[in-house]
Amino acid sequence: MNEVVLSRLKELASDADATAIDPAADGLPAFRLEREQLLGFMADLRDDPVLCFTMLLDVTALDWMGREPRFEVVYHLYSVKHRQRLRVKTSCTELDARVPSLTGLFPAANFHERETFDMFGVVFDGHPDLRRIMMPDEYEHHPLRKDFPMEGIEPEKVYLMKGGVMMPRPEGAERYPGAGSQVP
Amino acid sequence: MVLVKQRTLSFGERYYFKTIVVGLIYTFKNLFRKKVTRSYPEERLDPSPSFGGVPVLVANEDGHPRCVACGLCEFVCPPRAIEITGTETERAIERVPKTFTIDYLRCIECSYCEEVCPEEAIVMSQQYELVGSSRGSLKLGLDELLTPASELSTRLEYIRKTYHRFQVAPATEANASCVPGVGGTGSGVAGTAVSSAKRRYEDNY
Amino acid sequence: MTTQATLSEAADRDLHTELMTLNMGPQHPSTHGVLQIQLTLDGETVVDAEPVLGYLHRGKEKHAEHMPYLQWLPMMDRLDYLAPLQSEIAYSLAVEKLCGIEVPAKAQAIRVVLAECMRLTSHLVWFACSALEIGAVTPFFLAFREREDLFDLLDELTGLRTNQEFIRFGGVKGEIPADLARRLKAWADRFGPCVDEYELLLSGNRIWYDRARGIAVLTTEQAIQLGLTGPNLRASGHPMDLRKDEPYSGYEQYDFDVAVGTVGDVYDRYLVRLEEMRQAARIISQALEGMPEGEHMARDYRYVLPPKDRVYSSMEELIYQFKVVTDMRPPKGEVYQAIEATKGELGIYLVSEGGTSPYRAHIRAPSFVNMMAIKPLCVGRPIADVVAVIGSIDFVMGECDR
Repeated sequence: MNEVVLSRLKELASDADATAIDPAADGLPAFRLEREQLLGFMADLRDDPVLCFTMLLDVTALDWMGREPRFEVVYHLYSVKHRQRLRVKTSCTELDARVPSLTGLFPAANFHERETFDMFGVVFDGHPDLRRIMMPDEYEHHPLRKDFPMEGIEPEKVYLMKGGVMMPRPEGAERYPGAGSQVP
Repeated sequence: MVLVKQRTLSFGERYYFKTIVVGLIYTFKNLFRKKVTRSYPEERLDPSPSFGGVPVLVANEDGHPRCVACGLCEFVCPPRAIEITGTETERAIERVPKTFTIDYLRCIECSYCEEVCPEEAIVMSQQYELVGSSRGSLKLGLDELLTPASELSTRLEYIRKTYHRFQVAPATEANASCVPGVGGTGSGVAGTAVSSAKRRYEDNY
Repeated sequence: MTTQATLSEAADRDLHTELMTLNMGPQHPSTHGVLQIQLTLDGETVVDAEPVLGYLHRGKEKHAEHMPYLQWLPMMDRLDYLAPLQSEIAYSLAVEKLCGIEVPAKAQAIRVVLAECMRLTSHLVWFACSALEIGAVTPFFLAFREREDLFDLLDELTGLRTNQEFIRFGGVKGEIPADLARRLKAWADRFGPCVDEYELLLSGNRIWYDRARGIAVLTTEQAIQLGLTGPNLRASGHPMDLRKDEPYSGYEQYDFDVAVGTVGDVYDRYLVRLEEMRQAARIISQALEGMPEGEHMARDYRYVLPPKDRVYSSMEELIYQFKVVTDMRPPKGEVYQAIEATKGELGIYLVSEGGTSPYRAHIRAPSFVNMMAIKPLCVGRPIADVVAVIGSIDFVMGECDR
């Protein structure tokens, strides 16, 4: 790992009160910081002439159920100049699951943040269009949380194609049309 | 690094002459090439020994399954297609399966079950055409799955060639420490081998 | 003609115009898989193109938290279903990094051969389908003929034509027999001139040229900002290739070039992928010729299945077999492993808490990121270019939706 890059990272990290995490199995440098410092730190990383971490590769989250803070949002950055990767982590609690959005700095964060919101329920403040991306728009739950069962939970309402208006399931209707009609 | 160069069209290309001529010559040439289309179902595929179809159970010469209902294939099956219940028996074998169900509709033919079986009791057949008139008909039980070992000899030979990675003698002192950081006192004798395995097991975990 | 110009012209002429919403729905021959694009059109010009994803969402990341590591491996095949083995290689590399398993040289060479074969199958489908959508029907048959030959060879090696599940942690399932290696090398040597044939049919063709040249230009800055990697980024001029920048699985030994474009339009992306096909055939040839001796699986029995003949006879190996299948626990930690997949950078982010299943497995899918480029590339262009753009970006919904 480039010494210049490492020392500059440490300088920026101390400015943003970020603590270095012990190197993981893949040896990537990693920092953990508070969500208030996130935008400033990311802007420094992107604009610094020495570092040039201009590419945001991935935004995802971890659900540490049973621990506070519950959600940990993980960012992976890449510097095209030094061919170096970086991991940045921030966290938020369950009741106040909001993190500033990086779409202003990195347009690549757009779909990633939508997916993290869809799967975990973490709201990204400042995202231009934060809605669900994988699950149906009216789905009530967040699938990748640890308290969501693997078999899934059906949506309460059935989306009927009546001008795009969501209508409640009529009484007595089957959950899946045709279910139970095939004899094993 | 190769810089791909964009080109400008020549006169013939710009006014379609070259394009038409090249296209027609190419089509004509391809009239006489060998076709890769197979007129299935008149011409069936003749699979090689390595082809993995759906799994079947191997039966010994006396008709009993080789399976000892250890449950490894059930555990490792990714789509959870296998269900086994075991029972005791009077033969000189620990357990036999009472029921052994494979749901062919779930099977992805990954051959994990064949790879983990410690008894060569479940192997992939050459059958890939699954036809049934109801969902239940493709959930096969023990009787339908049993196949004599003589019919599966090519597959058994193939798996011996693939999975038996080194044809060596049992663990000796020299090659006992296959796991880094663990010293072993392996030997060829069954009793001490068990106790040394236990010690290595405990060392690691 | 921009939207503003048309609208103001129409206003001048006192015509009533409105924007039309056209649904390029999930069932459409040109969207590679189940992708819905909601187009808002002004006449023939696209004003807004909003991709709607999630029709192929199968919950792979959720499954990972409930299945042991080995059981989750076949799910990786079904990500980019046109190039199954490369996703398995990415996951295996991640687990090997986490556990500290060393892969023998022969297994690495076999993995390189398979990864490049998968690159070829995927690019052949791209070539066939993107040409077909624009109207050239012949390349489809030519490309699929080559694909048939390759699949027959892979069938003989692995047992299945697709979703082969041939990669294991610590190596590969079996080795390439000498006869098969000879035939595979002969096929790879024969493949280079095939790409020249494809170029002969399309590159100088005026119809293709007009449909592709100058369409949907993406500059390097735009591409990096959108997080694009792979052929899309290289066509825009930036030579980033993980096989050269951060070599994995022995790629540093092979001599190959990285195809880089200049302009970044559809034509450049087409040329870059054709060149990648040639280079992939070159790598396969070299890897098969210089195949090292040795074993095709590592010997670390904490995570790797022991050889079968010893399982039948020896007690330690039998216990290891049971332990590896039922109770393989990598050490606690996290790892992000990226490979140069056919569509871009495929990254696997694994977090392990010492259990039998990962605590979190996240897949950074290149197709998901490439989707973000659809909107900026389609807006302002005629609707016919939407099809060309989709074909040139080359995504696969299995990978995008996971």
